[in-house]
Amino acid sequence: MKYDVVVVGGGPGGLVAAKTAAEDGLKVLLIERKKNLTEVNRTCGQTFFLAGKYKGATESGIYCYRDPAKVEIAPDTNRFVYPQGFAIDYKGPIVPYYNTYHFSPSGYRIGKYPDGNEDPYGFFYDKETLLACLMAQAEKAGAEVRQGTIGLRAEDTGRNVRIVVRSGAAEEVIEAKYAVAADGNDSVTVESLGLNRNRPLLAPPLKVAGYIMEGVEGYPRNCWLSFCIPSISPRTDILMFMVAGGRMMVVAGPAEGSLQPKAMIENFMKHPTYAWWFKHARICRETACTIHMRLPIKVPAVGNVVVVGDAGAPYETLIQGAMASGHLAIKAIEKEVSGQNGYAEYVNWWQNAFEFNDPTFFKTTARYMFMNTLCTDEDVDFLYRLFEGRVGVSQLIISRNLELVKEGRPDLYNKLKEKGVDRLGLDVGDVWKGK
Amino acid sequence: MAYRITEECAACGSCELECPNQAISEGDTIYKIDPDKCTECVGFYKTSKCAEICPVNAPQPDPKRKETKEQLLAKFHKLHPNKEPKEG
Repeated sequence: MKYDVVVVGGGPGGLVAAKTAAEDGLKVLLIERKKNLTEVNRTCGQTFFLAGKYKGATESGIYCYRDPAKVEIAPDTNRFVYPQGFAIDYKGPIVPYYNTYHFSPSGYRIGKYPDGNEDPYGFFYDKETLLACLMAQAEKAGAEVRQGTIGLRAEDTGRNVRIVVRSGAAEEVIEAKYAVAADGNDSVTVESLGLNRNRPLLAPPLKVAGYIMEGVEGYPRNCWLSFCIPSISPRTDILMFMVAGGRMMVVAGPAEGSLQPKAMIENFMKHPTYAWWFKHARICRETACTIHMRLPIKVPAVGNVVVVGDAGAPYETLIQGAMASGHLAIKAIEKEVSGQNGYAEYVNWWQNAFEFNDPTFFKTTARYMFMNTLCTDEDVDFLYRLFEGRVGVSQLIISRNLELVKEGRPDLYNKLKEKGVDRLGLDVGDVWKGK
Repeated sequence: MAYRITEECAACGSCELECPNQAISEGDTIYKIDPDKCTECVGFYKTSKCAEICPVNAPQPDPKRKETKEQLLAKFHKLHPNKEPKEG
């Protein structure tokens, strides 16, 4: 067998897997379909959230990776430090994340954490720099990395794994004892191995776009910004966040009928309240992606295959989850090789480390979409103005204080109450019962 | 006609693995469709998958490569001599 491990996919999860395997003396090949692995054209939030501080489903309706990984900032190299006893070096721009602000169309805002908070809840990093770092570390340790090589389908023969790959016009079969499926959302490796049998699609494909820009002014730095402007984006907020190194990104989507993500971004940049931020903006990169949201994989290690990161997730494991996944997958394989049950530990970690594996998760998070789907721009302005000054996630504040809407806007109160908006907080509480 | 990917393309690659003819690959700046391999999904699906999946509407019918359904079906048979066309 030429390789001990073949890793399909050169994102953060796959690269950490390749690096870990090589450092432990395994013969590992990583294949990545892009010609340049470090070029990021798929929309990505590029934020390392500190679990344990940044509350996921309980407070914001988006899920979190639970392990309390830390970030150490140092002049020579930053490090992502994991509770399982390993760390990943990252030499590159890094910017603390202090707050998330929810904005209404007219500019009323509600902060998730107190104004002036200087205790980071996470860090913005630059993904292209991170990928370059990880690739250099993997290759230095002896991993073979083949770019411009796409995995088409995989087969677990029982004795080994065979991956059919294409590079240019040439197809070949790669054999390895083990395979790590790290080819991301809607992984072809996972699909071809028949591992999507119990993973139905949860929604039509979600189309998003993100513009990375320089020269944007006036916006609160070190923050995620979430704009609830239903007339521009009828389903979810438009998002803005920093990309470490002096840039920022605006993300919109999913596409809704004829409303396309790029047009949503462009409409936002021309919006009367916010246009002045973009007066001198230069778009440096257009990103996009279409996401297939599937039920998460229950058992991400079977036979000679271990599933890593987004390949097994509904759509994202987040950077901290993906990297942990890559590392732990290789450790699991090594245990299996030495005759111990490494898979059980990996599966157990996977099932507990991600909120998306909680049974009620999808029911509760869908309810956070009420603002854009139920409210008009004027409704949002009224609500955010009413609750401006309070601290917390805007949807939860509105939910828990819906009675206060009755006086000024009885029609809005009735509309939201009818849809159970006042019960949003209770349902989320159920998810965390006993934890 | 075969489809071509326009400059709207953000090079996200979402289309690459959707193509049943493996006609899509990464170019220098944007992705590209090999027109000799594109059957507009005739033989596989009712709709053209790349256009359907693209988040920025980059794949468009190529006016320079007008092909009838019959021509596309013939192309399908040439590319996949051992396959039966579906949907058509």
